[in-house]
Amino acid sequence: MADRIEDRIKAMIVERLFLSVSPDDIADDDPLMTKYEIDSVRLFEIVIGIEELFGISFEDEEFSLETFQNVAAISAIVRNKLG
Amino acid sequence: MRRIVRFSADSKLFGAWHVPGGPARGGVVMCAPFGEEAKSAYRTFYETADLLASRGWHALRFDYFGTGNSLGSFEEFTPTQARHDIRAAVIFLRGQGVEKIGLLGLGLGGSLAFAHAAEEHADFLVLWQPCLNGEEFYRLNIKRQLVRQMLTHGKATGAATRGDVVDLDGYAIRKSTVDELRKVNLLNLCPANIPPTLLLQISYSGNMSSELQALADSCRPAPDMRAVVCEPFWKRIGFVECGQVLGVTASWLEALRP
Repeated sequence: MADRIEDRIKAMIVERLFLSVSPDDIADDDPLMTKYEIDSVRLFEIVIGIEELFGISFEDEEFSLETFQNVAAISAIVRNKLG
Repeated sequence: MRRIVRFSADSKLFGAWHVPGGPARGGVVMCAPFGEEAKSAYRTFYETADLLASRGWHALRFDYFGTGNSLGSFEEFTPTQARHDIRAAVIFLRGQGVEKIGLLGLGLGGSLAFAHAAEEHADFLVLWQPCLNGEEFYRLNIKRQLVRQMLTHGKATGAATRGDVVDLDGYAIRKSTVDELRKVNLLNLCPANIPPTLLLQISYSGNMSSELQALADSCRPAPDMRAVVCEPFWKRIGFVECGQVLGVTASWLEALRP
């Protein structure tokens, strides 16, 4: 099991979106929307995946493109929520 | 062969009846999921009905009152009404001389099918990733709406309401319906004697989820549980290969005692 939050998020994204890349191939600052063709359905899957993986919940005001633009940004908010 | 049918009082419900070419084994009433999920599942439901008909099953796809080509407006959709519609679909097939009739439901349709079987009668059940908890179902629909808003506007603008009507991920439903949806909890039903049931998990994981396991544990006798690794096609816009879902379902039905 990967320990870094970033690595756990990458593994979750690859698994839940059935991506044909290795989690290690995703850079922390890769633009998720454009590089991995993330549409609203897939982004929803990422949101739910993160909530389930870390036992957190995103508030309405946290739903912004900046939050989910890349793994680094997602990790930052997850880290903040986990304290 | 496929026939377009109208049934229930005032012919208010619209259905597509897939009729087997030869001797029939029984019938399957197909209970669709809700809203956007019903649209995404349309092709798979159609293909499943065709496959079942080719294997000797009458398969009836239909639109709940207030949805699709059935009468009524979407604001009139309620889980209670949908349960009545399922009953009407069973009665329709029975009226065509079909004797052994079961239900196949996906998502919220799986919940409705399960509730119907728990309180009334079905000869068998096929539950494709049923929605177990209405509160969670509502929460996920709101989140999906927030994600869509985020991609459109850059940030979420929140759930919209107009008087007694709530915009639930693009579908206008009454607040009373939202309240009813949020009270759905299959784990509270604990049916004493469910018919033969296939509980099929369809997800990215081959390990059975604790939620579905809890549902199985609440049932007597225990359902047959299977897990298929497949993209949740009822939540996708593009093509998803669902051959394994159809294959497992058809095989399970064929193994049912005549």
